[in-house]
Amino acid sequence: MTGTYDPFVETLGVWLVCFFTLAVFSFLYRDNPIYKAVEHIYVGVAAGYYFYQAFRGTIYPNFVLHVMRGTRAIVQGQAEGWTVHDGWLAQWRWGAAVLGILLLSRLVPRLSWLSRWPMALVVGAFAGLNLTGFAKANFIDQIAGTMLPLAAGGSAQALPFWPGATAAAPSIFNHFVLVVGVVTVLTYFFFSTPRTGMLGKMGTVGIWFVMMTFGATYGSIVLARISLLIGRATTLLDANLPKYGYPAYWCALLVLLAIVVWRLKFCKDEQQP
Amino acid sequence: MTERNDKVGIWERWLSAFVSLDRRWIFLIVASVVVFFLIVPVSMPVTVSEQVRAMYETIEALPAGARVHLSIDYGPGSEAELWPQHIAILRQLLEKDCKVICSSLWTDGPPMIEKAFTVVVGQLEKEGKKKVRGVDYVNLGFKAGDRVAITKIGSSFKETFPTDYQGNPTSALPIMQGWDTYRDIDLLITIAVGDPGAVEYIQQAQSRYNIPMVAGVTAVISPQLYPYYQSRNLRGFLGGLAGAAEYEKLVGRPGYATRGMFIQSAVHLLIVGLVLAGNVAQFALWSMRRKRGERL
Repeated sequence: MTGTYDPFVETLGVWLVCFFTLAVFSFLYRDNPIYKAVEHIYVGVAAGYYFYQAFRGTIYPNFVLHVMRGTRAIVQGQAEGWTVHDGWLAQWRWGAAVLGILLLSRLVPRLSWLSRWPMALVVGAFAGLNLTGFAKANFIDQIAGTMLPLAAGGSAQALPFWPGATAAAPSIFNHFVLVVGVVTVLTYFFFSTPRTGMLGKMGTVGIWFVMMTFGATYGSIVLARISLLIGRATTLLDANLPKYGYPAYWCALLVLLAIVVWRLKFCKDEQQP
Repeated sequence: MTERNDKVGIWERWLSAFVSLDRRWIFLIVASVVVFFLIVPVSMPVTVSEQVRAMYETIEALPAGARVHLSIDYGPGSEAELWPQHIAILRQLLEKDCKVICSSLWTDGPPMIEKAFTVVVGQLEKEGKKKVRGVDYVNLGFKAGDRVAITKIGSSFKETFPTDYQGNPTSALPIMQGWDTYRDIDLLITIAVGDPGAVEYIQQAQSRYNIPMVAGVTAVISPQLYPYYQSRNLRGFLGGLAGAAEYEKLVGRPGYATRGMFIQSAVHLLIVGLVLAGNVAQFALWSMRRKRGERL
């Protein structure tokens, strides 16, 4: 725990952290009412929190404050450095607000067609932005990044196993692997002609590169998930202090008891062969 | 002959039991390994990778007073991987007297920004280095809009964030004086868990404004960033807990990530061992059944 909190609030927070963590972990045994209850609480709290943050971070400063300041400037002739002209300019944000409200018209089937206008704007803006950003970073820059010297490396290290060489440092070997990988994978995804002969062999090499990428990605995912487990376990151990009354032990016992009672009381049918 | 059949029978029973082991036993073994090594810590050497060193050197090369946009695009769900990165980077920036402008594209980002400022500014104060909110650092809070928000931030920070997280007008803050766009930013850093995150910042900010950028991401995202590092869109990046541990080594303050590295390696060995053992057992079982003339 960081910052300065009221001791009661801090203790309550630590107990809630322990209980919710262990309740979610109880799903590893099987789906159970404790897990379900915590899942529903999480969804409810998250929805409320997201709404609050969206209002506080975007709707209030970018719409309410601007419109109010603009209105004051129009009424008073000048306000907080804004002229009447600035005040009128700020009123265009009503248009954005109306479009935002129209998105909610999907909730009324008779008026749901109205949501198509703001949706069209969102889709158009996203498509336009993605096209330009994607074209530069994912297309042009990547092509430039693949145009590498194969005859003379960027460094003195010709092979990755050369003394002092690192796997990521520029070397002829690395450049060669990269270029071969790009060309063969592109060949694998070239569907205009049948992949036979040389094209087929290159495609086979390409699929090996794709498989190695999947393997690396899977390894990274395992890495990430174990990190999350270490994080939760660290939180539980760090919170399990005498000053808080050993919340991890008590919460573990509580969750365990609840699952045992639930199994014995409500899952009798499943126990029969 | 009977004795041999019995022996084969026992082995087969063992192998059958092993390949059909309830996955909950594996969960329990993994959890036990994690808890055991948390209670009995073991240290292991950390080797710094090229992209991590490049990130460190990019930040080290910043002059005092450099403006850095630090976008915190993660929440408590990814704290285990990204918090150590966040703390190490923030401390390095503030120690170098950089001006740190924080914002978030994730609703749960602003409290993480506040928490990190509380920790790092508190540590620096104890060491006699006072950092002032609004002068040395600022939390601009959350902004909805994903890629649109990134583009808007690039064209005007003050218009996109009329107020900071505490509700103060940004135009009145000393740290925000004399600049407004990405062209005035010396370095863009994102610590991100997904979309919107590092890739979106590369596409909408780095490539558009051609500003230096580095990133700290979860291990799931890190394979996606290698092409951008290769193409120099990224000057360097950290991937997951391993990246954080390497960075902790570079900044000379081993912490939570370094502590977690041995546990992670132990669990990885366990998983690799289980995958290998499971495959060997399955093939051995098939072989035994084939020898008995059973159809697989």
